Formats: sequence, structure tokens, C-alpha cells
Amino acid sequence: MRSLRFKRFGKKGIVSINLLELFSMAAFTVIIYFLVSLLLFAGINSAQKESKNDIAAFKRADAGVQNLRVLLQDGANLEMINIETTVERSGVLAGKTITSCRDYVTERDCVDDTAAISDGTFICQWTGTQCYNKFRSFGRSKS
Amino acid sequence: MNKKGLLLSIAFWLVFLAIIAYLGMTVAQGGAVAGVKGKWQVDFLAKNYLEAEQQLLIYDSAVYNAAVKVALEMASNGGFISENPSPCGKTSNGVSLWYKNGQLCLPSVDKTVDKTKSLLQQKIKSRTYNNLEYDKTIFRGEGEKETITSDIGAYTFPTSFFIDLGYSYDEYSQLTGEAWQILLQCSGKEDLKSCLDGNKPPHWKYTSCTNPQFNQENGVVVFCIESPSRYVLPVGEELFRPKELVTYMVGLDLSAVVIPIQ
Repeated sequence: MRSLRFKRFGKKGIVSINLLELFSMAAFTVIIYFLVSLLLFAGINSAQKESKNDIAAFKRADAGVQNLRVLLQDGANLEMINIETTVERSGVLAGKTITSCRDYVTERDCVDDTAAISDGTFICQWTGTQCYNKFRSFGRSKS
Repeated sequence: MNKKGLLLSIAFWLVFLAIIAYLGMTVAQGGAVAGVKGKWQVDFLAKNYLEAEQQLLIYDSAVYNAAVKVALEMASNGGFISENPSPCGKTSNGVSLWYKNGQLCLPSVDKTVDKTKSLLQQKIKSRTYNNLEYDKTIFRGEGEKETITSDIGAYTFPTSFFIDLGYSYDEYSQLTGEAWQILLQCSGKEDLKSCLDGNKPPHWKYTSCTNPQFNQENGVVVFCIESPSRYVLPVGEELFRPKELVTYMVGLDLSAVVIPIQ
């Protein structure tokens, strides 16, 4: 195999590389490049996913608070519920944040509690035109 | 490969493996996530701002309920609060009198603020509100600043409130004006019912708003007055409580002739 020699340097500085070694180095460089790129991509991808999840969770909770604010403006007695838990349990249905049963617009979603907002203390009940929280308490119902 | 080449090759592989291991561990432990731009801001919003918004909602809810309770209590007591009843006294049914034996006892809505403030103190013991004020349908007050601290940082926010009650105490000035007109027109009249039928505004009902029936007791007539502005307020303790028309219970002593002050 023919060696490449760089004779500009003195004897101590001579580096001997044959063609096979040169191609091997090039191949390794390419492989390293791809591996590093892959790992970086995976890292960025997972970071973006995490970031999107955080933003989605924040937006859902923020929309939950705003939904409750609308209810308060409408005269609802928010002292009846635990606001923190209600906001936490907010769900998303077709892009709309569901915080209380009142946010359901169809009977099916209301009765099925499609967004699973109930923590077991109430069920959603349809009353012909609107959905209500019907509380379960010692056999006495509050709506 | 000579000795120098072998060393170079081994060093190369070690560095390569070290880089791979470092990147692999970083990704596996989510280290790359921590460095994402905007993460701190989102965490701050979620742990501090959102917490503050929820806290404010709890306060606003308590303020709204207190204001509604006071407004309804006052309306059912003819504009008086239980701690400060009408100086003219009450009818046998407990209805506050606005006029009795020549004495005019009109409600003072100034007491409303004090009553609401004391109710608020009971509901939110940790907070103190100042400069409470009703301005048309708006109820507002100044609260102290509150700070929420989390592992992300501290967030200080004002707890002042500005709530649209959907009801205004200004109605009382219209009602007292109408009461004065009734007194001028009908007091001392023998056929009291005919006079009242012809002179009282239509939102003044006899005895009850749901089942109006003329009744007088020694010249004292009880009226149930429907809100002339058709204000409605939520009634009850349920989450989705119904809103009902505000009604005022008032008694007028129409037995003696009222002489207008010139």
C-alpha cells in the first residue's frame, strides 16, 4: 500500500497515514456525525414535546380558571366547589376546555362526562337545554 | 498501523464513546429538556401566576356572595339591615316601615358597605379590604398585596377586586321617591284601595309579589315592590343557583294625612 508522506515536517513531525486508514477515518467521521445528530435530534425532540405538554397543561388550567370566572359572573356559587381541584380536573373536548358540566353542549357528552371532569362527588345531568353538576351527598341532591 | 497510529486510534474511540455516553445520558435524564428556552417562564406561569389567579377567584367568589347576600337581605328588609332596623319599626309580619306617625324612615344604603365588609371578614379572615365602594352595579375594594412563592420564584399580586354585581343600590332613590308620591296622594284617604290602585306604580304590589292582595292593618299597607330596573340576583346555595327578580318589602302607614314640607 502506498503511503502518503508529508515531507515538509522534520522526522519527528512526520505522520504516516495510508489510504485505508484515511478512508476509515472518513467513514468514522461520517458515522459520528450521524450518531451525534441523531442524539441531538432526539434530545431536541423530547425537549419540544415536554415543552408543548407544559404549555398545553398551563393553557388548559388557565382556560379552566377563565371558565369558572364566567360561571361566577353568571351567578354561580363557587364557594360550593374546590376551585383548585376543579381546575386540575379540567379536560379538553374538541379543542374546548371543559371545567364544569355547564361547559358540555350536547346531551351525550354531558351524560357520559366525556372529558372525565367528575371526581366522584357529582355527576353531569342534562336538563333539556343545559348540563348541570348534580352533587351526591347523603342521598340529597344539589344541582 | 504503527504504535503512534494505534494510540491515536484508541484515543479517538475513547473520545467518541465518551461523547456518545454523555449525549445518551443527557437525553435519558431529560437534561436537554431543562435547557429548553421558555421552560422557566412556563413553570413560573403554572406555579405562580396560575396559583394567584385561582386565589383571586376564591376571593372574588367570596366577595360576590357576600355582596349578593347583603343586597338580598336589605331588599327583603325594605333597605335596612338586621343590625340597623327601621326607626319607624316593623309591621306585625316583620316588614320594615318607611313611614309611621308622621315619621319618614328611608333606608340608608351607606350601611351596606359596613355590612358587606363584616361579612367579608368572616369569609376571608386572612384578608383586609379598604375603600369598599358601590358604584352603580360595580362593587370594588382595595386589598393588600399577596405573594406566592414556589421553587421557581416569587410572584406578588394585588388582591383588589372589581365585581359587576348586576344590581345597583341606586334603585332605592327611585323607590323612596315613589313612596313619597304615594304618601302625598293617598294618605288619609277613606277609599285607600281606589287611591292606591290609581296612583301606585305598577311594580308596587300589595302584600306579595306572587299573589298580590290588598290588605291594610290600621292604615298600614304592606307592599312588595318588584325591581323597577328588573335586576335579578342569584338565590340559594347551589353551584348553579337560579336568578330571581329582586323584590323589596316595605310598609307604609297611610292612616294620617301627610303635609308636604314647603
